[in-house]
Amino acid sequence: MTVAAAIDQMTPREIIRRTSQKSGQRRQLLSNLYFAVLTIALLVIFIPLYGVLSTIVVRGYHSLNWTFLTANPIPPTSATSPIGGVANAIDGTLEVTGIAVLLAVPLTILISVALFETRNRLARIVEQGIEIFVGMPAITFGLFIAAITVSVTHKFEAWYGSMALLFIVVPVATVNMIAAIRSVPQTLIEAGLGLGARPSRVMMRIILPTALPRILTGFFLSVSRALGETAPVLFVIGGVLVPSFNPRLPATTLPTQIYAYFGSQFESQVQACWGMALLLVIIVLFFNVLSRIFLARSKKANG
Amino acid sequence: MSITESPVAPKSGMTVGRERKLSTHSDTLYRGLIIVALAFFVLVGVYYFYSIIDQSIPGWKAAGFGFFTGTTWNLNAGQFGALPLIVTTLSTTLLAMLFAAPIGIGAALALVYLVPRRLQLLASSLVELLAIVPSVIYGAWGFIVLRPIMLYHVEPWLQRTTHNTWPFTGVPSGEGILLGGVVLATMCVPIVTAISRDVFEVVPRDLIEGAISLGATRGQVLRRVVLPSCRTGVLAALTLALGRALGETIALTFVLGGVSTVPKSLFSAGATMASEIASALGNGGALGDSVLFCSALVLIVIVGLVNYLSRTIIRRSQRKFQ
Repeated sequence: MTVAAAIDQMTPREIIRRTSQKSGQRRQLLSNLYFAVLTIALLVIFIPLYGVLSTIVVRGYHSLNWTFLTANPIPPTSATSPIGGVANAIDGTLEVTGIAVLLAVPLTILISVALFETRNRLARIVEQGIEIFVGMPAITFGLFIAAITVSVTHKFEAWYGSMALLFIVVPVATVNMIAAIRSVPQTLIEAGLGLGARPSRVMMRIILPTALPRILTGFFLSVSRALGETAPVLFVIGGVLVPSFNPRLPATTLPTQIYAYFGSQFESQVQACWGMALLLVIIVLFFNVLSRIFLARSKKANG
Repeated sequence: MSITESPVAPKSGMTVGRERKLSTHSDTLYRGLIIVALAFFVLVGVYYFYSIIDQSIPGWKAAGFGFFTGTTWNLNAGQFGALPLIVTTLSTTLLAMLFAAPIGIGAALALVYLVPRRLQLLASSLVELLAIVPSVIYGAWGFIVLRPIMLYHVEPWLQRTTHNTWPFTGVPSGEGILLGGVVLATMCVPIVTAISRDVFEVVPRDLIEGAISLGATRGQVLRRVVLPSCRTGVLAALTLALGRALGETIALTFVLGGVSTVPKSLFSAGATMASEIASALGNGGALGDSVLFCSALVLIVIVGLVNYLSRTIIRRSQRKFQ
């Protein structure tokens, strides 16, 4: 193998490691110092990571049992009275996030396809709007939905929370989906059009299937973010002690239940927070791993 | 291979310009849906801004310009001076960025240029794990675990070593701006790291190889070549983190304490514009709620301004390089 070919095989790390000059003591010292600082920066990140995860697991795993998952909460009367489970919050999380995802999928597909197909003023405005929404504070979406629903109907309903979560899910998923469909090779598209297929057919049969793994990556990522959101749903879903199984009724999600329990005067409820936190992290992690699996698959497919 | 890499391919869309006319008449439903989707998004967006502004009007009428200058915030007493909230928001955000920017960028450099290939996937997955922990959990962790550490170790130590000079004055309480800044930094670091890492990974190899062939050391390659060529990408990462810090709500309701006056030191309790909305909505009657919408509006304007500024800088520097 020639030297040039060998260098082409290297990762950036190996290039600077194997080929950089070793001469000049002072320069070398400075360089090593720089790398030491970078190592410290990386290690510093792992402190809170270890801190958070160990806290959740150590304090939470006692709580995770069948009763905790399936029983309804019981308002405690003393420090030792039983507090039941969190079935209400699990049901609420499923309802609120589930409906949000059901609505988000068609919306995201429509908007992404529309942005892919058009290059006029309107499309530019929408694309910038989406980027703005990605960065907007989640609490403002909660306020907006509260203003147009709860202020009008004077009732809390689970699906209001889904509406608020749409503002979290759709922008993130759309940004990912546009990137996904724009990375479909132009030759494939031209081949489809060249065979006389209509643009809609090319979209349905060529672009979307080709980009599917990356599209799913985006969806699972945004779902894992939506699952943990408290601020957008806080004002609109109210709270319940029993699962309602009805999106037109109030609901409690895992994050809002943690938020509510954490201020409790009963130690048992604060303890239950860690159980819910562990449960929530496991669920969020599940969707995150799913998204990574599809990302790896799309990378493999694209060579 | 992406469309944009091909020199002849259009930037977006498969049917551009005159070619579109060929198939227009046979695909009306598709084109109709496209226009409906775009229009729908614009309508929702406009409605969002309109209703936040609309809801805040009574609040502006009651608070007036005193919203920005008044130093007492008490919704129930009709005192709508939001300066305490604004100062707390800006100081916690500044503190968070002071911690998160160097650590996040440094860690991203380390991930790409230092960590052996075999460990790279593991290390970046771990960093991303930090990003997916919900903010309510960070709040709980900050309150239960970090607050005692702050109260009994960090804050007394800071006071001792600085001989009680500002901003380390006041009585250490554990919660407050310092703790808020640390918790926010923890939440911002993975954002900075994840995006910067993606940027560092695509630095052209020619640049790195060129610098090395000129005799640069490893450190010089990173400092003089990699970092400058990634300025815009890193700026984008910092902007996203900054926006997240400004708007973070739930975690801060746990670790900031409460609010009434302008914070005097890093140990003062406070509330940010966002966290005050979460903890006070519905407590101050219709007028109080409206004032909270004012706070949300100010927050939206600040976040929007930050995004706009960073995008302008990015666009300018991109033009300079081309």
